[in-house]
Amino acid sequence: MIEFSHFSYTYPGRETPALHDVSLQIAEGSFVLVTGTSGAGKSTLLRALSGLVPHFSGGRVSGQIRVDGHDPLHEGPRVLSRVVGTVFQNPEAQAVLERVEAEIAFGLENAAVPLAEMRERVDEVLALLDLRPLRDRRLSTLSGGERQRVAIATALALRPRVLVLDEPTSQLDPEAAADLLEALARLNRELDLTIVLTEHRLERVLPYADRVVALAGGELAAEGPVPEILDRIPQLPPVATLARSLGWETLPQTLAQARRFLTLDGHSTVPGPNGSAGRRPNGSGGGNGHSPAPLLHVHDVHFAYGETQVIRGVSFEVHPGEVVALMGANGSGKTTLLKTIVGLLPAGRGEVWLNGRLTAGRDVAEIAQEVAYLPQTPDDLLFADSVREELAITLRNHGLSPDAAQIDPLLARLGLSTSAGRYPRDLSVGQRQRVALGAVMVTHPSLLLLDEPTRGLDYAAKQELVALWRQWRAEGMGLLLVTHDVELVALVADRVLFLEEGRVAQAGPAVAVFDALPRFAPQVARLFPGRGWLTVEDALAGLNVPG
Amino acid sequence: MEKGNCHLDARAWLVWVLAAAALAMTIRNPLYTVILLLIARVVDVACGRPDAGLDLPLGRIAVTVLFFATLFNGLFVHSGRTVLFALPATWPLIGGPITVEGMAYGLETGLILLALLFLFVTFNRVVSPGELVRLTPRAFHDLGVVVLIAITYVPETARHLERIREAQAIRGHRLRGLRDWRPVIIPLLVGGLERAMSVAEAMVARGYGATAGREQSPRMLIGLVLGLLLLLAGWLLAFWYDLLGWSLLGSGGLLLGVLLWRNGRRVIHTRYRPRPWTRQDTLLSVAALVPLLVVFVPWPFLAQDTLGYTPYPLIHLPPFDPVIGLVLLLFTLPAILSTGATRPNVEGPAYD
Repeated sequence: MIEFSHFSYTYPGRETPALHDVSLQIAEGSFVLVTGTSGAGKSTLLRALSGLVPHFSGGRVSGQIRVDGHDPLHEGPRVLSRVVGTVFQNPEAQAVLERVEAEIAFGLENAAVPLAEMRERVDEVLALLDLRPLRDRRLSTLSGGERQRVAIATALALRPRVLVLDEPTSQLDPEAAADLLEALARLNRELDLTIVLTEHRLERVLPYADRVVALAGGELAAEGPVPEILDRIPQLPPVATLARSLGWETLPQTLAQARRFLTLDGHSTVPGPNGSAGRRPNGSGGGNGHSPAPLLHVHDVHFAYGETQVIRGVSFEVHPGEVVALMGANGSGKTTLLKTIVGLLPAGRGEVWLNGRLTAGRDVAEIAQEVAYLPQTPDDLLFADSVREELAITLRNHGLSPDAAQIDPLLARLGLSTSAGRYPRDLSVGQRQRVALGAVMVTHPSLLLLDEPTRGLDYAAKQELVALWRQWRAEGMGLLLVTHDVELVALVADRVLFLEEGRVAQAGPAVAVFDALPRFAPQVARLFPGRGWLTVEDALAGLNVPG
Repeated sequence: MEKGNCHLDARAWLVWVLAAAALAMTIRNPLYTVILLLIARVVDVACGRPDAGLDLPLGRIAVTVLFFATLFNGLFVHSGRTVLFALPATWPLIGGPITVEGMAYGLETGLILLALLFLFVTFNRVVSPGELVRLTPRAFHDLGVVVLIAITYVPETARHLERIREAQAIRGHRLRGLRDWRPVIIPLLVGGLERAMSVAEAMVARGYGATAGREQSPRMLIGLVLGLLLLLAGWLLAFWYDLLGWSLLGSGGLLLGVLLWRNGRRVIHTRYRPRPWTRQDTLLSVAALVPLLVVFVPWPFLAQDTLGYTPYPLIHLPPFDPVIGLVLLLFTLPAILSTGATRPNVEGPAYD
């Protein structure tokens, strides 16, 4: 179905190739996961399949690609759009028209498909992706998961043989992501559609994939059927990492497999005694919970956009040296709550206390000196000519002197000392994220609010962030973290608040909340229910295996 | 099925708005103008799309336009016999007698402006941007799509602007002078460019422009320019040399028409759920043209002198011909059709 032979590609104006001498074959009906760190060439590989590389991006190519008998390098994306359907990361940036049905028909209109057939095809893909009830809706009223399903329907309407998806679940909550992947698996089974997708969160996708292509630095690092290849991939999902540490011969691909292996291995998977003994608190100062003065005290806060109630009476506290994770489905009010805390949105009712002082009536800039807030898109913050200047500007905004003594230690901690003079937008996603973090943290606030900080980050970049947060927590800072990434929550959070329709539905230590919400729980917690383990380290310590 | 629009074709709506606007511009009689203005509002209420997103404070706009039109004409035009008071003649422009007639004339002009504004607001609220773009000739299909994307792009950019403003505010940024816009403008431009690139990429990936046999020949372009030049030259010459001017104008128009038609035939694309032209559409188009015929053809039974009213030299009540008033009411037809139970049985939603 797909064949790369000695394919190399260099983006225009670059010296080093984005992909170098890649040769691989993918059979029809495969479900392929492409992995690798940021900049490993995953997106480039996907775009080469549809001819976007090099026809849209420019640059130099060598080697050959065949997709279902076509040559994307010569025929280009317009011809290949009938063979390869493409779905991109950001659902907002790929829609052209206003309404679901029109959006799906758009590609067909351009392909001059006759009217009768067009109707038939639109009906068909609406049914395939469970979109029938939404056919007349405006795209702007749909949730992220629904919009991604529309994007898939749009691609499928042209009846491609291959569907290519670039991090399709990165903006979705765990449930929406699982639904989307289920839909893809069904298409793969029923239509024998070949699926090629990239994703950083392996634990989400690996259960569905039957083949993995691992890229590193633009070269093919490993490639093959999942069972054979797992032990050659550096970053694995928790169950597989655990199995590797336990010395199992075959690494499990799914939770169900892991459970089977575990029973064979003589370990009990029945719920253990409900003791918190298995769980050591995250970090040193975390989770003590009886600190006299909370950094942040939110009391019965309400907020409405016009008539729509978004926050309906939320109360909680964040103490020094504590990481609190704020979870919940898309649209449950998490971001709105953060904005209410920093004063960007006025609380309709209720109070926010920061370091023992009410925030009501205070200026956003003044509040921001005590509480840092990193918004979802850090690129919105960056505009200066250098990384150092980015931090200095924040200090000047607050009327503080931008001296090196304030800036340099923070840059060193963020791992940005060597790039202090560089233009922020030339840096990698992970580095830009840290520059933005520096820009909000340079006033040494006591509390840090983070909105989806690991979106689009690879494993290494995520690890660096986690290490940084742990340091800050050890120094007595409080962190409030909005995220969909359950494995991240398992790693760093002391407590979890779970929002549902603007109310706190669950709150408490991470272990307890995950016990109550198995659909949102990390893999280790689902593998060993009731033991109070969340991470691989927890499990290894509990099983008395030296990690 | 989409509410609003009164299930009429965008082309019929176009006839409606152009005919009504043509009358609003040519008639100078506040009584008729007020009728047109009210019709625009009635049709808007009856047929406007609930999600049109064009919620202008029409009341405030109306008061402002009328107030300033009255004030300016009153201050600058000093004819008329009914003098209210006089400003010292040494004051430039506004010095002189201030008259009721001057103000009345200003008010009349203000009403005409308002009627035009309200008509186009109504048109925008009944016809969606998508339908509007479909009105472009097939040769301009690509251009139409680009416009359509631009329309969806604007609200997205507004949301982005708000996000950046918030992001900068929490860094202690305050917007005071022009220089303070830099932290907002740079991320907006960079982000906008990135989004434009991804939309373009998504469109290419979906086969946009995949139509067969469409080499945009330079001859076509030259022809278009030539046609436009002929049109312009003919129009200018027609002031002095009637025959030559008109024949140039005609041949330019013919050339353009042929080129657009030929190019349109080469653009091969189909249309999803085309909305059939219904009897109601015909009815509306005809009904909208009737007032034009009535007003511009010198019928013996009509008091056409009521069409132009001027308050000078002495203010008096504007004349009124009930037949013309009644004929203007034909423009309310969309609202009347919307109350009738007879709706065209369009298969599927008529959004297009």
